[in-house]
Formats: sequence, C-alpha cells, structure tokens
Amino acid sequence: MKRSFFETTTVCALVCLFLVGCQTSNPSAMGPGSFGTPLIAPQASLHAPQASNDAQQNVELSAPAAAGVTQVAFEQSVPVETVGFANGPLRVAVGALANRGANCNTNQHASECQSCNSGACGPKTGDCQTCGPQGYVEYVPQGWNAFGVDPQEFICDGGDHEPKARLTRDDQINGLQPEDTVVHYTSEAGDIKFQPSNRVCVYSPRFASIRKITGAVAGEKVTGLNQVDRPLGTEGINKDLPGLVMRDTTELARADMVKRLDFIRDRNRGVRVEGDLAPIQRSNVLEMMTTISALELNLLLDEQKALLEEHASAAIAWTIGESVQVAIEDMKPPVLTRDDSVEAFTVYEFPDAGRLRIIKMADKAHAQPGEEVGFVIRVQNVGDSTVNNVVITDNLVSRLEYVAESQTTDLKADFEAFPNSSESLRLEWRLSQELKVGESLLIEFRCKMR
Amino acid sequence: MSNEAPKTTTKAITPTRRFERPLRLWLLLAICVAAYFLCSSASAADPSDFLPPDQQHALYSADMPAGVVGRARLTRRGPVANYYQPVKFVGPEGTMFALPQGAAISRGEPNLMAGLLIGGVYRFRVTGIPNAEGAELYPTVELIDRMYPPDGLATSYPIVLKIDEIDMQAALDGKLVTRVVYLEDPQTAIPLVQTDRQANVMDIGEHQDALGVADHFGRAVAIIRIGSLAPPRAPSLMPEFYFGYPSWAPIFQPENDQPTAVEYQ
Repeated sequence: MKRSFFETTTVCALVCLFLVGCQTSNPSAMGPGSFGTPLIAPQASLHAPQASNDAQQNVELSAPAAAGVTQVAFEQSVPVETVGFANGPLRVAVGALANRGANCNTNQHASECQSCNSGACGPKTGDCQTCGPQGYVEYVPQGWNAFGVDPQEFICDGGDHEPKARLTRDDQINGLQPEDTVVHYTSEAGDIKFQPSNRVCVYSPRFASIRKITGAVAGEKVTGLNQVDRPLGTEGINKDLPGLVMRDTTELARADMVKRLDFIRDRNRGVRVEGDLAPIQRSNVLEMMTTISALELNLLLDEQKALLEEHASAAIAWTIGESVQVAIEDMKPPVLTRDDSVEAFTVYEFPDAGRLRIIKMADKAHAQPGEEVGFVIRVQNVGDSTVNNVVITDNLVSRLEYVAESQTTDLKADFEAFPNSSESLRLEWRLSQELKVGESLLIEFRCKMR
Repeated sequence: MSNEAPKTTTKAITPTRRFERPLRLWLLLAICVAAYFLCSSASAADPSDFLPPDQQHALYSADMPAGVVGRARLTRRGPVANYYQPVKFVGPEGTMFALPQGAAISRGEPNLMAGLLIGGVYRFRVTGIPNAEGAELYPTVELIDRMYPPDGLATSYPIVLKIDEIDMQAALDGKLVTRVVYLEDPQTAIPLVQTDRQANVMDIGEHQDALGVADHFGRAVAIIRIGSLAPPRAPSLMPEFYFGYPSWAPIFQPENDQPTAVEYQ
C-alpha cells in the first residue's frame, strides 16, 4: 500500500519527537551530574525503569538464555554499565540500582548502605554490590594540588610574565608586570635585548577576612530579635530568664539598599597551577654565592683537558671495533681506521653574541609578615662581546616594600625607584659603564614583607 | 476471438509529481536536523559551565549552618581529611581563648594555638573582652580548607583567626558576626603592612555573601561565627552545644614566641 507524503512525514516527525523525548528525559541532558555525587543517586533511582532496560540488554548480550529472567540475573552478577552524562562517562552498577530499594530498606543492610552512601567504598566491594552503589564519579588522583603546594602561599619575584617586556623609543619599558625582573642591554651590533631573571619564591602566606555583621534590623523592618539581655557573671542563679523584647525600630528613617561593586581587580587570578614543584631556595648568602661561582664554569681550563681526553678515550674504547671485511682473492682486505685520539677541539665563534645572565636569589626561604628579606641580583656577561647600556629593572609585587637606602652595588650604577601599579616600587639600576666579557654586577637590597 | 489490444494506462508525470520525492527527502532531512539540534541544545545546558572558575564555593554561602561548607570540602579532591591544620587565635590585649577538652574547658591562653580538623565545627570560649568585664562569648570556627607549607613550617605559619573588639562588641549587642578568613592572592594582596594584631578586614553589606566575596580575593580557609549564644545549663545539651567535641591537637608555644607589647607597636 502506498503511503502518502503526509503519512510519511507524520511518521518521521513522531519518530523524531520520540527521540527528542528520550533525550530530554535522560538525566544527561539536564546536566545535573556536574553538581556532584549526592545528586546522582536520586536521579538514578528515578530512572530505574530505563536502567533496568539497559541491564536487560546487557544480560542478553552475556547470556542469551537468561532473557526474561532479569531479576535472577541481577542477583547473580552486577553488570557495570556506562551511562552517558554531560561531563564524561559515569559508571553505574545498573543491576544494583534495580534491587537497591529491595535490600537497602531492610534493617539488616542499613549499616552497609550507609557506608556505601557515604562513598567509603567502590563498586567492586562486596557490601556495596549487595546493597548497591548509587553511581559515583571515578576518582582521579591527579587533581589540583596533587603535589601539596599552593602557589598562593608564596611571594615570588623575578621572571618576565606575559606580555614580555620591551623597550619603546622614549626609553620606557612596556609589558613590565609585577614580579618581573629583567635586564636589557645593547649589544655590539646595536641590538637591544632583554633577559629575564629566575623566579625566587619566599613562603609567606597572609590572611585577611571578610566580615559581615547581621543584626535584627534591616531595611526598616525587624527581621528577628533586636536584642537579648543576657545575664552576665556567675551562672546558676535561680532567677527568671529575661524575656525576648521587640523594640520599635525608629532609628532608620530611610534605608536604601544600594548594590555596590563587589570588587575591582587589576589582574586575573588565572588558572591554578597543577604540578607546581616547590621552589628551591637558599637561605645563606655565602652558600648562594658559592653556587653562582659554580655556574661560572664555562671556559675550558688546562686542567680540564686531561679529563676531557680521558672521557674521549673511554668513548672510543666503548665503541664496537668490529666491522665487515670482505676477502677477495689476491687483494688485501680494506682496513677501517678509526680515530685513536682527540685530534682537535673545535670552538665555534658566534659573532656579536653579547649575552647577559641574571640570577636573583633571596636570603630567606620563608618570612613572616613584617620581616625583612634580602635579595641579591647578579648580572654577568657570559657572551663573547662587550655590552652597553645595561639596565636592571625589578618590579616589586604589592606585598614587598623596599627598605629605603638598603641597595648596594659593586659597580657604579644609578639607582632610581618609581611607584608602580601594584602600590609598590619599580627599582631600576642603570649601569654607568659597559660590561665586558666575564664581568659581573652584584646588586643587593632589602624588602619588608607586608 | 477478439483481438483487443492490451490495456495500457498512461500517466502524465506532472512537474509537481516529479519534484515530490526529492522534496519529501529534504523535508525528512530537515526534521531530523531540527530534532538533532533540539537534543544537542538540551544536553549542552550544563549549569556549571556558566559559573566563573574562581568560585570555589558557588553552591554554598557563609550563611549556611556551621559545618556544611567544611564537610563539603571533604568530598572534594585534595589531602584534607584527617589533617590537623594549625590555627592561632588572636584577639585584643588581654583576650583569652580556650577550647573544650572533653566536658571541661580550660582557663584559656592569650594566643591559643591548636590543630583543628577540616570539616569540624569547634566552639571556643573568649574571655577577657575589653570594656566588657566578666562577659564571655562562645564563637564557632569551621575550617573549610588547609594550608600546604613546606616541611617543618606548619606550626610557624598557622591560619590566623583574628577577632577584634568590633566583632565582640557587636556580638554582645546581639548581632551575628560572620568572618570568612581567606588566604590572600599575592597578585591582588592589599598593599598594607600587616601583623597579627593588624589583620586586614573588609566589611560587606548584609545582601552580600561573605564566602563568595572571599572566593574572589583568595582561597577561603575558615569561617568564624560570633554570636551571643551562651552554653546551656543542662549537661546533656553540652555535646550538642559543642558540636560533638571534635578532636583537636594542642600546640604548645615556646615562651620566647609569645608576642610582647613592643613587638606590635
């Protein structure tokens, strides 16, 4: 029988509407799974008929003869089915959902069900299989703060955050964020280059409070008790407790509730850092300087050549000395000659490679609010040419207060301090002379932890 | 015999008839596409997608009963369960703080330090209130998060729970003071010098949620509620008054760590 066009369209529309109805009745379409575990159980129990259908399909797949004996199959094995929720798969023991009501309402399983409801056990546990987990989100151990460090508890200084610092035509630095410590210089070729320092962090958490005082009077109305006269002094005196007195509220002639700005922020807090390792800090300046001298090992000295020769010989000795040799009549086999020693040491020259290394360190690993922390900045020319116009800039964060007259330098440099956007100071050292190869500048200053 | 020609029927295919089948297919396709978009738009409505990322307690507020926010923190990720977070009670000069030890409560210390569990509600006693001779207050503190100090610095950097004279006077007047203590974000910290006795505090209106505002400025770690509730006379009501006496760890301070008047001048 031929269907008319209207009938076909109607059938298709009904099928589509049915699909839409199934989708909207699915809890995944509503998205409440993202609220957390406690809301999942009621939804799952509300949709128990649909869940039992899924379970029936699962049973038919595993044991075709068990079709129609769904209840028996639930008690024997609890298939774990994946139910599509809005934010990722949610694993639910479907079979246990159906008989949860039967078992969990009895007193003998009350304690087990309570432990399961509290999330103390997983779906594989025997108790929870009998009384039924109600669905849970899989625990991912690599969550926020898996390493037990919160960057907000540290005061850090140094580095160059986005946007990167750059120099304008009028010799101003743009893109200098709080915490940034950079040095810019002019190389022999006339290029202006920036080099950020390392970040140095000091553990110094600080707390503040948000206070809200709620009374019984608000908006010209008494919302509760205005005052309770409570007896002071010794307790236990047998006297009548004071009554609850409502007073007239004539203090407020007019009270307009004005919506205020909750907050104004200059910077976004950003995303929490995952896997942020604890910073390595030096609390002793002398030890710190020792470390810096160790980092200066960038020239090949004469006493190191023997060590290099030894390592090169060892590398040759460890290589396989065998090779394929082909013997042809009346001809000598070719002999592969290998290097027996280091014949040359090649030094690559990079022209105009003026480079500065800037290291910043603090003399304390942790500091209470109010304590002073000493900072050291060391700038060294590790390139192959002299650099000019060396300017070191340190933009302090709001909790670091520069201690006046505390800065010292070992080379002649002009020091200036400017207010910055974080209600602190931007420290600037302008080196008066050029910095030759191997020379270094040492800056020391102190800051008070606010 | 009749030689009748076989009947043949001819049907003229009109232009409307010719386009009927493709039109039907197009209509079917359009309905399916519309149904797909209906389904997809319903599944995309996830409420958590519209919440700002820095709202750690989007579903909670400081006006909830004591213990709700702290217990909710235990269900989230992180090593917060069974950790005794050191705290330090700080008040005006002469103020004494005491935590209950079982059914008894000690005389109190000026700067009491103790390790408290996250999620527990601790009611402590405040005595020596300035300008209120003999008055006592029994505020509650609820830890809703912990600190992550380097090894060996846990007690050196406790959470400072500061109560000032304004709080205590308002509580004695019958008002409820809710203080949400938060760890300041170093990027947006208030650029003022702060010591234990000069803690930064921000007052908000009654229509605002203290926990929500604290979430904007940092990481909320504790909620203090200061009212004028007095302990009941019946001993059987004392466990309820003290929220079941949650366990806490005493922290003894060396004598030289006690703050002096010179230190805070």
